[in-house]
Amino acid sequence: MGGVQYSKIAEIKGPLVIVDGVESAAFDELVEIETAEGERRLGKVLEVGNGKAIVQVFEGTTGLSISATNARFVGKVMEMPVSREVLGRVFDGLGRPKDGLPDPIADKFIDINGEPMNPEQREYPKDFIQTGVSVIDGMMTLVRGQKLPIFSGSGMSHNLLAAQIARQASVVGTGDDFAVVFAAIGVQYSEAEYFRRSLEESGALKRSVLFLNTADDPAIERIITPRVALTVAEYLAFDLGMHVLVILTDMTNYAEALREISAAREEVPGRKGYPGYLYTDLSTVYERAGKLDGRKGSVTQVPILSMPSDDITHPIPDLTGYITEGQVVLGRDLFRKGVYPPVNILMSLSRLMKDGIGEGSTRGDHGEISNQAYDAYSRAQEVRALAGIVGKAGLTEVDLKYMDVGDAFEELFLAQATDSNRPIEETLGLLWEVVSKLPKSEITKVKDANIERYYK
Amino acid sequence: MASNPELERSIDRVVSRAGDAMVAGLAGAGEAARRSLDEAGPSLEAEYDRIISDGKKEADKVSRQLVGGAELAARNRELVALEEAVDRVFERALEQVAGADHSKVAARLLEEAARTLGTDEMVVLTNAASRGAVEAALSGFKGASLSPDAIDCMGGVVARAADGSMEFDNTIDARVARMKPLIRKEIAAQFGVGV
Amino acid sequence: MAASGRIVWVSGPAVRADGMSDAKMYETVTVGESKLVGEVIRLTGDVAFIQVYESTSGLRPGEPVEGTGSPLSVLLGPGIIGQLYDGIQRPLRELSKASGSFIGRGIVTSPVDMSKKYHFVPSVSAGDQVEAGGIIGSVKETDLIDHPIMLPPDHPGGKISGIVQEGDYTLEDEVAQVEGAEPVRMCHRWPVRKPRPYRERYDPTVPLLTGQRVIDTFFPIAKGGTGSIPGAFGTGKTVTLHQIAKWADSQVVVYIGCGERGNEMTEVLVEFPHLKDPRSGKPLMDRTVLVANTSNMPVAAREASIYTGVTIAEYYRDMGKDVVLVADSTSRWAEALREMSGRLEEMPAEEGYPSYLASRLAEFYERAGRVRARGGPDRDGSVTLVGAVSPSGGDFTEPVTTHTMRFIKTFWALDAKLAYSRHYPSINWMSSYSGYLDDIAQWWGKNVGGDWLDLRSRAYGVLQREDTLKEIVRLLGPDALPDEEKLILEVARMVKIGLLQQNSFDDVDTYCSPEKQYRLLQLLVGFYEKGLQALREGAKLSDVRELPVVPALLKARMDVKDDEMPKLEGLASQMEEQFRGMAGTGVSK
Repeated sequence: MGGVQYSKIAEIKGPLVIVDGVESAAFDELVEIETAEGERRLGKVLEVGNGKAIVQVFEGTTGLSISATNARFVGKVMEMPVSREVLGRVFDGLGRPKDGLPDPIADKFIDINGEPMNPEQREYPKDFIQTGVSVIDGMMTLVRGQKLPIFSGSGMSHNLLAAQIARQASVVGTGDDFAVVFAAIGVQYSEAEYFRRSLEESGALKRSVLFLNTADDPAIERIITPRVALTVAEYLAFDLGMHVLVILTDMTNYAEALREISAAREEVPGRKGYPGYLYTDLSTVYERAGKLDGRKGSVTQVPILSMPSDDITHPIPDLTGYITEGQVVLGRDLFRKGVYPPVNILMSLSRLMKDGIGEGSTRGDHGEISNQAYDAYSRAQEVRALAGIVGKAGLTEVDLKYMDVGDAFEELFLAQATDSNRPIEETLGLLWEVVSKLPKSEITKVKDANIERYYK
Repeated sequence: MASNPELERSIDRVVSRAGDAMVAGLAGAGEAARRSLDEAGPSLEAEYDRIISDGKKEADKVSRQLVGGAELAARNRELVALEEAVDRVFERALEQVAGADHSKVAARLLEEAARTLGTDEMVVLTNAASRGAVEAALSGFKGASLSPDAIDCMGGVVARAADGSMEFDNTIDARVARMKPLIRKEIAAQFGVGV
Repeated sequence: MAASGRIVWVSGPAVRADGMSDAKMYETVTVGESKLVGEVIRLTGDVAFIQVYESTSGLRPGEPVEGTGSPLSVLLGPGIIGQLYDGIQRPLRELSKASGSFIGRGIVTSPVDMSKKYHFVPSVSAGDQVEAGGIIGSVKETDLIDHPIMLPPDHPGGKISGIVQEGDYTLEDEVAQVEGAEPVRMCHRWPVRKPRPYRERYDPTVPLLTGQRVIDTFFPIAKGGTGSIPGAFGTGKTVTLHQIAKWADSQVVVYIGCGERGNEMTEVLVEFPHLKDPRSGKPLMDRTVLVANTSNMPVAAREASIYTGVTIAEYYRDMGKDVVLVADSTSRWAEALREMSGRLEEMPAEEGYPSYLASRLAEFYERAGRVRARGGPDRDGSVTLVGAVSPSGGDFTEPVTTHTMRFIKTFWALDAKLAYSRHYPSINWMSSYSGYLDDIAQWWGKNVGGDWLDLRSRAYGVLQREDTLKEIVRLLGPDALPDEEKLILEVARMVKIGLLQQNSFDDVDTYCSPEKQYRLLQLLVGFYEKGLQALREGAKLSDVRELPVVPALLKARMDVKDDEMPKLEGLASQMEEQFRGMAGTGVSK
């Protein structure tokens, strides 16, 4: 039974309020904090016992005082009201309307923490999603129910890419059963606005739900933003049968909020000051993607994170990579060269690609030609490095061919306009055009029949 | 000025050479102009196509945006209208609730408040209408006292621990506020929404 | 008397309860109104510190805690094979019947179907003497698994006073009576943190064949041995582990998904029933048990999942079977230890891990081994432990990797650079090692080829030389090397493509028999030696490099099936002939 309001505040530190004399509060319980001015803020119980409750305040503790703060324990965990009418709506980082419209009339109230999917009830993801972005469709295919993050660095074009995926994947989707859930986590207002406009221009806004916590919004709220977004996504997918694409940007800000709380609790830090449970915590976000046996919809996640100093071994990308099913890595070199999208294919990977491509979904030669292109591009990089040492004159004829392939790969295949939406046939055709710059004898990863058919 | 045939010849020579150069230059320029005109033909066509296709893309974009925007705006107006209707029903219902006599439930609400706080040591506040009923019910709670100040509410009680450290608002108003999301859903269902 | 107390404090998976003076260390308790499963991990006065195996969201001080009187145990009996369990042996299929697609809380289920009838064939008669661990009969568990029914290891043994006739019985039925002891059923419980006893332990001398060339030929593991496979993300760790689980020549495979991706367990569930065991032709699921505590499931149960898995493995070992246990990933298990330790406010050691991390790892790997089981009839079984490690940032100097290296004998180091160049399996041949080479060389010598160890060291020698030469090439370009050294680069490339690389998605290449491994090794070593000889006799390097047989050597791993060994002999004679052909040009013998 909740609803009791306590006024004995023992301590306020960082984002935490420690309430004394608490008779009854539950772990994870939602708390309303009332300031001296009557302003209401939300929080939740992190630890409770022996008459004390440690409450994490999402909207920050600025302006709270020991004497004039009240904490009301609401008697339930945090819930998000959901219904079909959330489509086309804009919410803040805690899931409250931000578009001037009333609260959604709930079909259901759902615990924002979700419950773990039973692995026995998952359906293995294998349905190809055409994003119209050649490098993704061709080399690191996305499938419905996958979680495939974009690892980027500050200032790079990850937002353009994510927005292009959201726009184009939704166009190809089978109409009404497609939805986009977008969560801005501590990004600049202009980036969030870019997304909104991009969805609006493609006409997909009415099939989208936006959660916005921008850079000037409270930092601790960011812990909640992906969770309310995924709660809505799961509802749309598994209750209403939609294929939902979830974009979370930027997960680095999320992890930083987590670190702030951990530091305030004086926990023993793991690497770089991030809490030891960062992996587990991130997995409770990323694992909320997938398909379920006997249900129509799916949740596909494209989280974006910026790697501090472009360092892929930093704990945030590192732990993310251990949980997600591959990664799309943007390369600073390509970005500087002006290539869009600047995807470093050698470091990128889609673990579920093998099951989403081939005869019946894309084309029979897809796996082979993509392997061959990967191999050739990787060889081209080696040759470029070698040319740096011995000069172009020191290269063999075959080496020079590989250099051509490397250039062609970047110019013809990789580079693409933000409004160009290439069907998979075109993407595979371009791959063959690139690879056909090699003599047939160098094409070792493709079956002869396919060489006969597609070599240009 | 006396004529100087030598000078005249020189001038002639220079002029004629310059003339040749000029003629040649003009001819070259004409050639170049023709060539660039010839070349411009296809590239102009390409440019024209590009403009048309960009224009078409832009038009598609705008039309998608307009259609989508209009649909959304219509839906949003619907949401606002529904909310107004729900609010009106809600207010009407509240008026009825407010008008009723809640002294009968006061005892139950008081008992619930004491149980929630986990103590009898409390100060109880209520409105003028329920005062009598609450006072009567208070005899069952040893450490409880009734505050002399009446509060503005529809009924029910606010129980405050004697040391002021906790408070439980069990007025009808607070209960309605806690139930509001569920009640809204019920009302909306009456309008055929969300069922 | 079972303890009965009240919650006084909750923080995530950690709960403190008072009034628990009757509780025992590692006793299982039920926590709160919704009866969540927990385990006592510290006792101070009458306060018990409990790790809870289910989400504690909504739990509040004042709710009851009840002791069960027994430590965390698994139920062992027919019906385990083919199951997918959570970390505390609850069958996930049954859980979904209770709570749908998402995992609910406080659900009680039986790990095996107690009402299913198995056809029991007794193997002892009334009057026979039996001892703890002794076999009294058997049932058929799956097409692949004969399941002997054993007296529990803690049974006092004695004279059989009665045994049922051959027939169909459930796990509830009593099948035998022993004088002065409890009646025997077809299942019993065993505490997971206590290793099951055996009679004697042997040295591991038999290789565990995985059909993976870089493992079997270069860095083998023995039955009853220990191995570790560390790798950064994207290095193909999961694929390699799945390959071991698919093709290892053991009778039972226990696969623990400990804090890993949900879809990976789903993949095994989808794939294994369709894959055929290369020896019996029966579905692989008929010999596999899965324990899944995915990353987003409660963290404490992750800690338990490792023990649940290894206890099941030991149970099948005691039947005289070879069992492989794959744990993916022990790093997540160590993180669970770290998280609980943090909540206990223990003094942390390196990177916040508790100081007992090393001893816990040692205890776990110590449960591997090839043993002679207790009780009659005489039989040997083994548990081979393979643990994945997920070093943060791919850094092998972090605590879990370094401590693990102290307790294992085979180390398969996955290399991100190899993975980026799509060299799979990305096991780095310079930083990996096997401590079992000498122990198992005899087996290869006897069963496959007498010169196996010698061939292997010659091939490995080429790879080692190449590693040093590569440095020179990087600085000066390949032209700085004499032809004999260039040949080493060339042969090393051939060993990498033709032997070390293996395509797990290719129907032929995914599994490689020991005979084929041996023949491929022989061919490549042969090529090197003949090539070297040819160079010394004046042949040009390009002639050796461009011998027509080279592409066939490189593709033999995919082109030649396990039952087509004569084809490889054919390749050997072609190679012989082509080298002899060079002699025709007056440069070779």
